[in-house]
Amino acid sequence: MNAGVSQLFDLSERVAIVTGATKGLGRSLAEGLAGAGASIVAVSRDQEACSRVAGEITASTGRPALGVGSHMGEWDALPALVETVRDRFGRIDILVNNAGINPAPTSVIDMSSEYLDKLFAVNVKGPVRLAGLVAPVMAVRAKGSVINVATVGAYAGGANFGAYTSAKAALINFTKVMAKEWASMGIRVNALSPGPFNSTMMQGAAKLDTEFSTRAGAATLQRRVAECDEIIGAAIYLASDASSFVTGEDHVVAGGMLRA
Amino acid sequence: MTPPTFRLDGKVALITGGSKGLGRAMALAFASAGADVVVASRKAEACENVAAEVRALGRRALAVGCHVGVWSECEAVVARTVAEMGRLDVLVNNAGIAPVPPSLEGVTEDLFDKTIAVNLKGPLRLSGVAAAHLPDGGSIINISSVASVRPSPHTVVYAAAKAGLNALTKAAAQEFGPRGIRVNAIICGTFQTDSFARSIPSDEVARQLASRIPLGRIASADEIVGTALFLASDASSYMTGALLALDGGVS
Repeated sequence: MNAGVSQLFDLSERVAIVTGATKGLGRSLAEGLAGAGASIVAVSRDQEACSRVAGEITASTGRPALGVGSHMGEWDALPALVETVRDRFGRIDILVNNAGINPAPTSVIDMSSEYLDKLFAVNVKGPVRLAGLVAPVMAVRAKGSVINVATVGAYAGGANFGAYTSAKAALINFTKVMAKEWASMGIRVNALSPGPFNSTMMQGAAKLDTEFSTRAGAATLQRRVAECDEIIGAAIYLASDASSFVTGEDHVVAGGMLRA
Repeated sequence: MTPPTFRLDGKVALITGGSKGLGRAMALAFASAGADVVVASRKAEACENVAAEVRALGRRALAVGCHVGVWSECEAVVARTVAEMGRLDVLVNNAGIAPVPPSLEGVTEDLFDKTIAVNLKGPLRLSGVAAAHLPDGGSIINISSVASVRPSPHTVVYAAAKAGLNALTKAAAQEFGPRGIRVNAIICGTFQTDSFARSIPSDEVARQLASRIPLGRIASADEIVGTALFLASDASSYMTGALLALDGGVS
């Protein structure tokens, strides 16, 4: 076992798809998994940005990386993404469903059908569909790790962020469902729920409310907002054999910000 | 960007119940990851055996006989750690006992007091005493049980003690958070340890237990290592007050 400790967190030979990979937390997740040895498929809506980030990841880590433009809100476009990855790498070991949107704060009274549909399409339907397409590929090797990125806000709910926080709560429930459905296939499924990170989403919120970041940091037990790289440890842990007996669980990385 | 290494170089870890099972697995893994290790349990001789294994991995080790249910012994083990190893970075409250009462009415005062003493009183006192020495970046890991969230009649006292340990985890995380000391718990499911083997009447019962676990098997003792290294190291620098399930999907 002891010789294995250094290999426990190693992702060499493994192929990881990371959605929303060009900015913020997703960018850190993709480069972090590459740093642990994985080959990376960097996905976002913007093909050009994906290709650029893939090149940067290969440059900094030496690992193969492929950028693929794909929109999580487009159910019927996702099979092509999975086929592209299979053609290039022949296998999929890790899926990080990180892409998510949290546009302008909207109260329940003002919420439109289009707004609700759009948030659920990108934050729930896309990740669930992609995982459903990837799981049979993972099952071929009887091994795989799916990581659904949610939010600590899924527990307490957030005033004016209800479409986002409830969509993420649905994603956490789907995490438990997938864990149960796919355990016998050797696939582990876990959620990763960030608290206040200095992410693209946080910077967006700060534009509307300049005190948002300060308040969020003060609400943590560690009294600070985290830098994006502090999400990497949890992702490597969940992606690797270090968590071989862990499935169906949400992992809140929020400086101790309470769930409710 | 430097990816996290999950290593513990230069750190000193104190592990209670460190002479066998999950405690021994963590002691050897922490040593492999670069930590010096203090192995504590009621049986000093058994601790010495694990300490020798740690030294064989090239790390310093200290074996200390300690009954964590006794307030003064908690203070003594922390004092010896700091005096002889020079510092304390990681405390793992792993020592635990799970005697099975025949019924709720059949719970003796002695069984109740002993179960609470080892599983809850000890970790509380050790956390309090250790925190005075833990630096910014220090980590306390409480080894809890799935019984704490899924209790049953035959685990009633143990489950209540471990539920108390979960509450201690969250309270201590609040008190120590501003000082950069993180406190988390691991909610362990069924592991293949000596004490588990002794508590299981037959292989058939073990098979039935495994069939109720979504991953379809009982964990090997070494499978706690990844979670423990994650929580002990800087890889989890923004995680505190968490109760992390390590149970094959049961809870």
